Amino acid sequence: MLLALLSAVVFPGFRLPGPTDTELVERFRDGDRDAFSEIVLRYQDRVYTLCHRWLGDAQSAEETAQDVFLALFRSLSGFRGESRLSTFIFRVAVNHCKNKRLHRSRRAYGRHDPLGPAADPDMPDRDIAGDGPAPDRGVDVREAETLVAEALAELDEDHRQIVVLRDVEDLSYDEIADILELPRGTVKSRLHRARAELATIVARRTRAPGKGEAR
Amino acid sequence: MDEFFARNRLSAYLDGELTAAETAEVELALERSASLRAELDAMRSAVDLVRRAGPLRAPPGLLAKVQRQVAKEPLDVGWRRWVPRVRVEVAMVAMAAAVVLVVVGRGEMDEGGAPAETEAAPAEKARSKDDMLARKEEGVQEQRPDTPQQAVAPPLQVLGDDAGPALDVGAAPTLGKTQSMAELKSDGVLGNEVAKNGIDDPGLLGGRSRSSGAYFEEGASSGYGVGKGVGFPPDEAAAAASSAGKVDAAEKGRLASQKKKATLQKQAVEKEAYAPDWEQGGTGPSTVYTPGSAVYAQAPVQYRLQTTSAAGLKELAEIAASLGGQLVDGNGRPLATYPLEPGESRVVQMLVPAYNASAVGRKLAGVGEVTVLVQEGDRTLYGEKATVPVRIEVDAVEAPAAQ
Repeated sequence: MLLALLSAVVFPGFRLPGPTDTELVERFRDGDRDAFSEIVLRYQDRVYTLCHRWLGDAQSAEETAQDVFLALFRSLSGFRGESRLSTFIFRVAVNHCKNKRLHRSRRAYGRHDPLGPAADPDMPDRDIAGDGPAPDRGVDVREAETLVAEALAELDEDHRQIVVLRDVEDLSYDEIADILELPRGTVKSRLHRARAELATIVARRTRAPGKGEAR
Repeated sequence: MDEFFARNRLSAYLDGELTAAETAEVELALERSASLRAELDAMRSAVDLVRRAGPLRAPPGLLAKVQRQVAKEPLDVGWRRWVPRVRVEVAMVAMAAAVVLVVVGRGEMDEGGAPAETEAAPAEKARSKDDMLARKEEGVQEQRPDTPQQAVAPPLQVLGDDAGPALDVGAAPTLGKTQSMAELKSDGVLGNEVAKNGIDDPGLLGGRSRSSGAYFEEGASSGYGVGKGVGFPPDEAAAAASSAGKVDAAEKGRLASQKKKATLQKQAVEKEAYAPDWEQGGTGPSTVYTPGSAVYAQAPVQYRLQTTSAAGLKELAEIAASLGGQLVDGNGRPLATYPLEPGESRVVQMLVPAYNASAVGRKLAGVGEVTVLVQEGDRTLYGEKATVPVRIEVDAVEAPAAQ
């Protein structure tokens, strides 16, 4: 605090960087609830993004994000700081998203009835007014957002999970290995399969009409 | 250069995660193969698309909602709040000294045995404690595919109507190994053939003791049985966390009642003799299963299928239909079937009745090369009325050139 004051006086305009994650956790453990709010502010976008890309809708994403932060509040006082706070938070978020899906699928798989809403099995191929060989060129931002959401939704859950962590959250292989508690080699191979599947889905959805229609 | 080798490394190549030697090999293969280049382009496009979509902003009210929720939560601070920091550090040093004294004392008693704790142990414990805390509230226990079989059976997931008590099961399928149907059977994975009443498939259901009428057999060879371990619900993770000493009284009470419930269930299972309703000819959905009497079985429910068949997903849909089920996408939604191009990968699921789940592997063997994929510790059981989601990773490969 004193240092910050001195710095402001001696070097006008100089601002110390904000507290580190570790410092925030320490302050929280000392009883500072505002420190927790700061943590939420720092991570809410990333947690919400993960939940949204995984679960596929805004309402589930918001509810799950709330659950994640509540769980974090309850467990943070015991956090020893041996892993990074971000890893810890992502791990909690991944577990909550998995639980949410498991809860949904458990209800669905318990009977012989056909699964889910009577969706139109002939999912329309996306009609892209593209002007080049690459299917995603010429697609406006909203189209891309929809395409990404639909493609991720089609992915198998294990694959969606790893694509979201790598290509949405931009985490490193080591961080992903830490979060999912998998060996690095498994992260590599699983990511490969996930992206291969994603490529198949995107290619199919962006094929020009008249070619490769669903049969 | 093996194109197969390069193909499996395209993703790592995109991320710059290959060694120099591997990168050179992949680049050589790319130069030689147009189809490989097309696959790389497709993968790169898909990844770029996802990346460009970018992060999302949390809704504006999220922080306020979280703050309202946590306002009701007690803050586990205890004495720390009221004790100046310097005294905290002194206390930590005192505790560390006490630990050292205990360790030294124990070492003397141990006749030269290794000290109870080492430098590395506290850090490891702390890390695993973080892990446990991360899972504590979520109640999901993750399984590491490569960890050795745990001494305590991991929590069992049981799906199906009136699931009833969970059971320990015997042999798990061999992870990642390509197995013929005969091998799967002899390993006990598919279960013994049923002395059945109208069920044609040597399905999931293992043998029964005819004399007693009791459905369950002990022993690993049947692929299931009454075992020592009774699966706890996912809150087992909370039980693990309690050993860390961080569980409050309410939590302890909850754990105690869960344990008691599991013990009662186990006792009920061991007492119950069961004659399945279908044995008496009843198979309708109106059949009621009372707890302790449902049928349980286990089957490998994940496969990888490598196929050269251009008919691809259509064939799989036909197989699913022949087994009384349907083909859906990786999330359980209806799937439009289409031929897969060589190099394409897709995850699908066959939703089939439990009594036909084990037949999936045999049928897939007629379409291509089958690998059984099961996570170690995966012990999902299915009640007889259940629909089993059999997950299949499909890889379409080029047919070998005609000779």
